[in-house]
Amino acid sequence: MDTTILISSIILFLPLVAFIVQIHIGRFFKREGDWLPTSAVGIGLLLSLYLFATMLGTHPTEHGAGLKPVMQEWEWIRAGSGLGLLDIRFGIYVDNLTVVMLVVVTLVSFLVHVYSMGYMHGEERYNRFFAYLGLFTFSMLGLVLSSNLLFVYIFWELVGVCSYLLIGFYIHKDSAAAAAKKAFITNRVGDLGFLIGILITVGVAGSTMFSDVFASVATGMWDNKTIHLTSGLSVSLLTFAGLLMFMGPMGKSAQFPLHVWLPDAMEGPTPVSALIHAATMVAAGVYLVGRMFPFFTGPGFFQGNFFDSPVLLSIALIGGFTAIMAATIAVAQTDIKKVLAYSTVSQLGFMMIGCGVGTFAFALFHLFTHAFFKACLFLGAGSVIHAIHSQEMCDMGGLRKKMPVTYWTFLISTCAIAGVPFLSGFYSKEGILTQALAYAFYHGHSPQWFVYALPFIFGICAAAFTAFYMFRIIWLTFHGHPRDEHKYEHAHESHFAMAMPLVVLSFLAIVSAGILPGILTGKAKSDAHEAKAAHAVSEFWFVNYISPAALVESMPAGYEWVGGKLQPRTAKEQNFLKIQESKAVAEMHHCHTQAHLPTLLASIFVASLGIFLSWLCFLGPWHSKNLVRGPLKAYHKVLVNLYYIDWFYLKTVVALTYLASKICGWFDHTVVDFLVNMWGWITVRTSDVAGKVDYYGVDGTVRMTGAVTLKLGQKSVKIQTGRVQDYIALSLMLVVLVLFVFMLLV
Amino acid sequence: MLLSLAIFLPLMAALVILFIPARYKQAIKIVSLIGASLCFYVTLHVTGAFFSREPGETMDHFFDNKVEMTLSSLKVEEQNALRPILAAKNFAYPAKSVTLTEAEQKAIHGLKLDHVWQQLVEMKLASGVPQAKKMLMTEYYEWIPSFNIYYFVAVDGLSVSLVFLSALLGMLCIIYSWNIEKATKGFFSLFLLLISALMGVFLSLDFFLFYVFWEVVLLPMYFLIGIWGGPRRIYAAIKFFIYTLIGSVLMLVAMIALYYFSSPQTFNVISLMSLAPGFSHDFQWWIFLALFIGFAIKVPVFPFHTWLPDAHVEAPTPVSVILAGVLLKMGGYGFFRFNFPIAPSASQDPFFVWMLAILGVINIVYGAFCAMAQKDFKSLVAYSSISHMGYILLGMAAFTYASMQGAVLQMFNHGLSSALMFLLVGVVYERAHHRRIDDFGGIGLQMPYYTGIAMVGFFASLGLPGLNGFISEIMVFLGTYQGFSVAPNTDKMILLYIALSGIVLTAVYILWTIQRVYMGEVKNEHYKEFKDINAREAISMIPIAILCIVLGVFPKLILDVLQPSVDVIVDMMKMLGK
Repeated sequence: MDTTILISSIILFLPLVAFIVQIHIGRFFKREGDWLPTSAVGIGLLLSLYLFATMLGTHPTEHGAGLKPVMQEWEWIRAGSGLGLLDIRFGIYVDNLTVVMLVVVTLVSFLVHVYSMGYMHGEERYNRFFAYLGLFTFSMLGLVLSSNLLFVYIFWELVGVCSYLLIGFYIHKDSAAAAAKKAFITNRVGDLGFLIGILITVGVAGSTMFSDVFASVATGMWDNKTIHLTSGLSVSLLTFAGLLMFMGPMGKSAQFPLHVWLPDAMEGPTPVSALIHAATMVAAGVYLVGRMFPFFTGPGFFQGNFFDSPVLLSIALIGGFTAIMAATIAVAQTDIKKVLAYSTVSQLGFMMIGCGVGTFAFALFHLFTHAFFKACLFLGAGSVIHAIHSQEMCDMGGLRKKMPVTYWTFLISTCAIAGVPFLSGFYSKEGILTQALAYAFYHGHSPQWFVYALPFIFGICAAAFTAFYMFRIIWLTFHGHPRDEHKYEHAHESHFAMAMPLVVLSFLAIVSAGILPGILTGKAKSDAHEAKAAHAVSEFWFVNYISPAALVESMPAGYEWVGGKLQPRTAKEQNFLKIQESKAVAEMHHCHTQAHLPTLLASIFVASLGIFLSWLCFLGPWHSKNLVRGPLKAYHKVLVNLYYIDWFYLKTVVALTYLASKICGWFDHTVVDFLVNMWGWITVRTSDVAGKVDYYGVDGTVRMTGAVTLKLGQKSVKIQTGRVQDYIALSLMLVVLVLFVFMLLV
Repeated sequence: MLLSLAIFLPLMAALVILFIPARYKQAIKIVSLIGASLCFYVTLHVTGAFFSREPGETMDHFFDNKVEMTLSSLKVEEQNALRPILAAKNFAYPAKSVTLTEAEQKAIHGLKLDHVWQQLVEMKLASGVPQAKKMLMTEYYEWIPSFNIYYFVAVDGLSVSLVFLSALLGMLCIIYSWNIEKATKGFFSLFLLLISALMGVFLSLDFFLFYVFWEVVLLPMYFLIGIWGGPRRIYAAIKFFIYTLIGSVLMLVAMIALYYFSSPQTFNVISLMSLAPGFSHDFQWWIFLALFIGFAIKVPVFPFHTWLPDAHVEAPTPVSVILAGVLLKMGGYGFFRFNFPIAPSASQDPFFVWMLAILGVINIVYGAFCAMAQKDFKSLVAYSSISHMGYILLGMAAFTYASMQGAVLQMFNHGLSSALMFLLVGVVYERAHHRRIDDFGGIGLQMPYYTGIAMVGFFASLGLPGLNGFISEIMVFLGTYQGFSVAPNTDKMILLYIALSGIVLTAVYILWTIQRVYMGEVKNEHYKEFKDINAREAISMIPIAILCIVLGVFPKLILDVLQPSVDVIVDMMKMLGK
């Protein structure tokens, strides 16, 4: 076995082992066993960092920098043969993208474990909480390590159930129970589309393995396949499958219209919100879009054209709409966690814009940076909540003096998410927006140019709102005067276990984009320039590792069955996926250069504008003016009601499902069962009638015969007098009667 | 020998119990536990044969040897007369009917060898059927010679899974029933009789014998519901009995028709498989329909399903477990063992394919909606069974390797998860003395262990990956997609898409139930006194929960057993297709 595979397996299975031990006997250990999952993830983190360092240190080749992808597969389900073959394998696949995700997951997870030791201290079911965290970490790692779609789906559902268990962790709270259910069911709706997408993919490509799926796209197995939706309307099967498959990410990454579960998910403990509902699980959708980027792009991908796919356009539009919608809702929320939740939805929308406009590398980079600063924000919010026992911002204010560590780390992360230059969020958001503008330029001559410009417009507006509502938190929570003196008095800085993760994460929020990797990869980059591998080298370090070429070109060809054993395919079949140079790339490069400066200026401008307006409204001169009661009243109402989307679902989808169930239940009880009972009734009645007929008819005849005979006998017995005279007289009468009758007849 | 032991050990235990005076309740329970455990132990051996490298003599060899032995036991001139006739006939699958010329008939009749000849032909036919190659541990004895009825049992991957399930659930239910005090003697002897009859149903390969066991199952079930059940137990018991009997009558008609139309006349199921392709399409059509309705009532398939919720709601917990876990599988088993191989041409008839697919979809979606509407916890689980049975029909309609295996696996998996769910309902019912879902709440905090097991059971039923239910569902879906997407007949795809919505609906009613029962605020102060599960309950539930997890993670364990036997059904159809 390859060392990378071995290391990844250890990273993957350690948390699982920890979970199994912890759930059963965890509470018998010291400190209820919290150290067990924590150390399992800690070891995983060290190993992931080792892989990450290896990736950064590897000499670049013409396919890009970083690790050579490795894969190992094991048999899992195998049925049938030939065309009907169903062959599902469990596989581990490691490439640069996986390693980046491993670092994100283990790092955030480890810090959240440590943080939870402080935050959850003394809670009921403390041991279970850590067990669930361990299970979640395992599932999430499995998701990013899987070598095929079906196992992604499996782990996808498993992270869903962990999320369910953790949202509903405060099991006695009705609201938590409802939120957990809502999260799972909303995700299931998305997963339904994902599953159909997988079914279609298996049907065409015959496999769910990434390399096979990409190969099927590259070799034209999807060409000329269409699906007729209604008469006259037909789309290509690849587009159809791509859109359905995107429903999965829509659910998990909370994209409109399936975003409704994420804000409710804040019912869970705050560390859970940070780990699952901000940094890792919700990013799984973006990961999947990135991983399956060639599939969503279609055959154009292999001509280097990432900009003409209808699926990607839909992704960009949905992402853009989500970004702006959630950002506006966030403005009106008063619960600090809800603001952060909508901010997460909005940022996930940003990532989807990135994927949609063709730069999944920057989308994943935004995922990478967002994980750190958003986790830091959530944990900071948790620290505040822990201190004042309230989530409402109207109970806060002026806390910066009481909680300096929390304040400074929160401020740094807020700057990062708002797009303040030289912090990590600035780089990633900048990258996405530049590409979005370039995308608009690229399609500038198209008659529907406006549609192509929408992602950028949505994005830049959302960026302004982001700065606005994030600084609103800062002003309302940490500045100004305490609104609740009593709570303020009792507030205190959190202790080390909670403060340490904040510091680490805010440090990463500063350095994760530009500075640290720049130092680490400086040599690799110069090496790459020497190698003169033109398209493998980019201005930006991250893009070197997560590039379209790195995604497919050195992909192992996978495994096949040889003599009843799974064997790697022969070497000559490898490297079958190549991205060709094309005009589109050059053209896009040109647009990109054009878009660079405008975007840079625009994003700095909107960030400053947002911060300034926010200061103006919540701390500055307009502070005393109550805007929401005045000119913005109507709009505020819409925002507080979340654009009535939840309300709409409740009145339509939920109500209809409920109605359908009532109708079915009624139908079953009153119609189907009635028919059965009616048959029973008819049978009983029939038997009644038959019984009557039998008693009075058949048996009646018999009884009548008997009765008549008896009566006759009783009557005739009187003839038997015992006197000879009577008998002779009777005989004579009889003879006369016979003779009379005889004569009559003759 | 092993199979007969598996069938008759529980029966013997029941007989022993009859001799124990009714006041020795503990002794009765111990004897029945011993009986059921021995039966389970034997079943483990039987199951073990499917994992071993040398599984023993397969049925085709068994019959070939038996033919030789029968021949060599005859006189020399009789042998000389029979051998050439035998050699001249074609017994390879599909053999259609075996007819004799007048001269041959005369010769055989002259030597008074009619019965021997009939026996030889039956065995020869059976040994040629591909399915016989997958059958192990054949036992074949004459029972009623005048009608060619045999005590004929054997086991293959299809039946072994269900035999294992019956024995396991039987044993666990006896442990669970330890607290039964009402008419203990009657309860346990009837329960053991039930296990015996179930074993017989899954193992017998003589149609007549199968029918006898099929009917014997009804009897203890009727009394178990009717005596130990809830308030409406008499209604439920009679409904169950009569409904199933209607199905049995149709089955009986089909059986007799097959007997008289086959040449030679036989009840041997394996031989019938070889003769079946010779029957006319119309004849097969009616046979398929009669058998289908007979089995469909048992599954149960919409619209024949309404006996199920009533029977479940009224039945005591262990009886519900057997009812959902094993009895429903008799119907599914019947489809695989009888409908497809014995009416091969009809089973490919578009009418029946569409019917299976549509009824499957109705079962899935309609069952899920009905489950959502239930107020009674047990009734909800009963409707969820109806919903889950739909996947079996869908898998059969698609008729690909994967979908058929998924369907068979679904039977097994549902047997585990529904059994677990009924036990879970039973546990909470014993404490709360009611089953109204809306009146529960907050059980999770009071009974953490119990809730942990409940999560496994409910999520297995929901089809969560990592638990067994997912494997069968995904196999049915993938296989059905393969089957339905074959151009140009893609009309059935819409049915698959509707069926897929079942995964959302299932999540809705399962999670809604979990929310109302286990989560939220404690609705009743009385619930705060609930004790977590005791040893008796734990022992009866934990093995099922463990199996749910193990088979969800390592499905190969059971698929390797099922695969050869299920694939051969598909293969046989393919052979006929050519």
